[in-house]
Amino acid sequence: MRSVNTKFGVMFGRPAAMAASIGLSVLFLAAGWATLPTRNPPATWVYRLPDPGAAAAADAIPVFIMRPDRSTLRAGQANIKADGHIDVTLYDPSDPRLIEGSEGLLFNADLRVLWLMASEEERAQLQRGLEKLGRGLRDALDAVLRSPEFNEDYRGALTEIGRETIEAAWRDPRTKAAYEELLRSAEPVLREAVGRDLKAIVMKRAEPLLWEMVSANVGSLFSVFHAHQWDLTPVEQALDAIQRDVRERALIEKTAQRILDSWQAKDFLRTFAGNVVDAVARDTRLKDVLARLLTDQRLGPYLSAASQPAGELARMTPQVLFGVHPQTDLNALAAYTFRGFVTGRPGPLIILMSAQRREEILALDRQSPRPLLHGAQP
Amino acid sequence: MTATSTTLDIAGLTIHRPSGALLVRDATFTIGPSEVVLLVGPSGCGKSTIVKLLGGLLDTGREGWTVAGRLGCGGRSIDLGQERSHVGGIVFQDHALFNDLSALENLRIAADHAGVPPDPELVSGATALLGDIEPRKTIASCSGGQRQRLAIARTLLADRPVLLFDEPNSGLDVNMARRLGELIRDLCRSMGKPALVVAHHVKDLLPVADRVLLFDTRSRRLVEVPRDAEIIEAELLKLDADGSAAATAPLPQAAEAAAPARAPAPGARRNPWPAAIGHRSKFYWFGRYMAEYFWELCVSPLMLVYMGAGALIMGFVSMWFGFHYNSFGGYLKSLLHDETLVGLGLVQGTVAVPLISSILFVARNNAIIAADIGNRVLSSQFKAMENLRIEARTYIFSAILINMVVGALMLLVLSLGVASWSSMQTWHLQFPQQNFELWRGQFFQKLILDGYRPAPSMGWVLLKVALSAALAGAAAIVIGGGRKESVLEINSAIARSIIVGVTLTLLVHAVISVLTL
Repeated sequence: MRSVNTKFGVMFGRPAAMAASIGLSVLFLAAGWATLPTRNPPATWVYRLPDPGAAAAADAIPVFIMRPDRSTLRAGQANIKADGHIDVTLYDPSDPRLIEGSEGLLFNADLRVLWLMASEEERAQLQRGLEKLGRGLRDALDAVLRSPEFNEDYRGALTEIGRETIEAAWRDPRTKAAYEELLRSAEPVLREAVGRDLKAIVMKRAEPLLWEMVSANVGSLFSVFHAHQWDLTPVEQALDAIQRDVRERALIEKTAQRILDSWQAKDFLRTFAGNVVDAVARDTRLKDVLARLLTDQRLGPYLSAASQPAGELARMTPQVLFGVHPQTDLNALAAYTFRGFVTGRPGPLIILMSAQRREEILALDRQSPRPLLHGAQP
Repeated sequence: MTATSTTLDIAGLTIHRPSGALLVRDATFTIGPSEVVLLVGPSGCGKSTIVKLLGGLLDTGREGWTVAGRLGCGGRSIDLGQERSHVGGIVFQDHALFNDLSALENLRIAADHAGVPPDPELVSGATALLGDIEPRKTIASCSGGQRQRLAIARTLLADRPVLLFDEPNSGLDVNMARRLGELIRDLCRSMGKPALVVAHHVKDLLPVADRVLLFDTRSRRLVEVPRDAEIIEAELLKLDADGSAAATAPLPQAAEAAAPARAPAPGARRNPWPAAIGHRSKFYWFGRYMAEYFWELCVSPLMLVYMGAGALIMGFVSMWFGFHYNSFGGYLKSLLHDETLVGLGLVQGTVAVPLISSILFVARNNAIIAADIGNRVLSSQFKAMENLRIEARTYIFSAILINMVVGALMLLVLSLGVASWSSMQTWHLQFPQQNFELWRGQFFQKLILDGYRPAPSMGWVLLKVALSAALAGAAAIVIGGGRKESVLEINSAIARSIIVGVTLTLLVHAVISVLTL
């Protein structure tokens, strides 16, 4: 034990040592205290939604501020109240960037918000990558469909699945309803004949229609940044072909021609084609066949047309949208979006920006982001 | 001074060593009131063992010393084979002063545990030889002679019926030894107490002795010899010749001989000791030991620097490597930032910092405890405490265990604070554009609820830190308190104490962490 020539010293060491201990303890406590989160900070700004009923109440929504280079920075958090008011608590209310960044947009945290936050150049870059991938996929699919391996091992099974799905699509009540509507547009005496022959012609054309639909839409399957709409060009082409068949068979020509020109015929074919695609998507056997197909190493060489653009897009997308670089600072917006993407629970988020930026984003998309109105100050 | 006129009667005393060898056979002697008896004999013959027996410090019973005989003192008869004798106050050969206390406190603690407060005459007499010693002086700064006199004064203040001196004159110059002899004689006479003085150098003390007992190592008996220095020397030479040749070597003179202590000239200045001794309660002494160990084990500056450095490094390492060297760290630190921060906060707050804090705390303090306790054992301080009726376990062991638990928890809080600060600054180095509040919100998400309420998991953290500190402290006390014959054994105990303490700490943390996953 310590030896100092005073009573105080014997017990506690030198007074200087005691002072050092007290100083160190206070320093450590102060350091720790400085790290604790601010308790119940008051709201800095209040916004409101134009349509209060459209948003559910939510707590701890992240708030970002958009910088001039379109990058975002986490700036605080917000609470959406049931009455549509939004309390925004900023980390640093004195941040000078807020002077030009007080306009708010409410987003859902999905890939679309990252797409909207990207610069025009970045979006064009991604667009080019997607188009290139779409072309590559079409070429690859054509090559696969023409390959002997596919024709020997898969075409039969897929054709069988296609035939059954066409039958299922034909039996679908929506198809039946559209077909009945089509027949009602014909003369009563001709309905039976038209119905009998027309069905045979439609079914004959349906199978190639299926392959053509797959081929035409394979590229758009990868377009996550656009509204999801099927490319119905093959349906239009099938309609022309059916008309040609009808003419060739001289099927009560004038009446039939008038029927096929009607909107009921076009509606029927669209409904039918859509139901076929839906039936294909639901078919579990198809998944097994496709699983084998996609893992069939013999088909690998035929996919080379798509592999390079796919690789380029895979490298480019995270860098452009998520800002992923080895030495990058935090992209909190991408991080929050990524979390929503991974967990399947994309929550709302608010981005503060200048009025000009807000108009630019709303010009790109008027549906997804929701502009916030300034409310009363807290 | 109050005279008690006590007589010490020893009848049929036979002692066997733990090995079974006979030490003394059928010794019977009486020391009357105020009588001073010298016990002489060759080195290592067992004189000190008789002193320990009379002072109640000999471990008898199974695997210990075997004792038979009766002791009578103050009208009370004790079967020495069945119960301990506490009649003698011992002045130990190696002084056994409490070197964590000042010179004054060594006397105060003896006086405060004497049963009844010693009367002023006793205090005055006991401190008569201390005039040249500054009462606030530490034991370490006292010379050998000063320590000797302090030890005698401390024993006198304990006010036991019999005074037992184990070579009190070793290390004293001739003048001081004679003055000491006179003091012993005067004290015995004034208090009416019998004194048994074990001595190797008999010439200095012979003038004050009433009788001399010789420990005859051939017959293993105590025999009375005339008070004649030459006869005694001759008898001792005979015994030495029959004994080991080593025993004939002259005893080394203590360093004190080169720098003899000087007693103050009478009337030179007033003795400050009697007034300073006073009286204090046992709570005071408990608080005194609590404060002493609190300082040493918890809040000394080096301890804080050491713990702070550990926490600082822990905070930096967990944050830097957590973001940089996980899978695809450089790429994913942006995307997985929030989750990484929450996870790092949880791991740092509930596992890493408590563990590193406990290990550092236990490793350092177990070394100190083992060294401290080992030193107290080696220098007979615990024996002296026991002889002075000072509750060593209550004071020292309780103070150590309480401070181990309290200190571990206190330093955990400080370590968590420093590690958090270090983490926050390291995070800011990696993400310089982000606001600290973002870190605060994520890092403490699973540690602090609602911004101020610790998460329930922190209760388990406190438990494992407190439990590991208590177990490690207990292990250090047990290891340090084991038999010590040399400094090397203290060193070995320190190493064992660190290893056992750290292992216990790791086990406690691992088990509780796994159970509370």
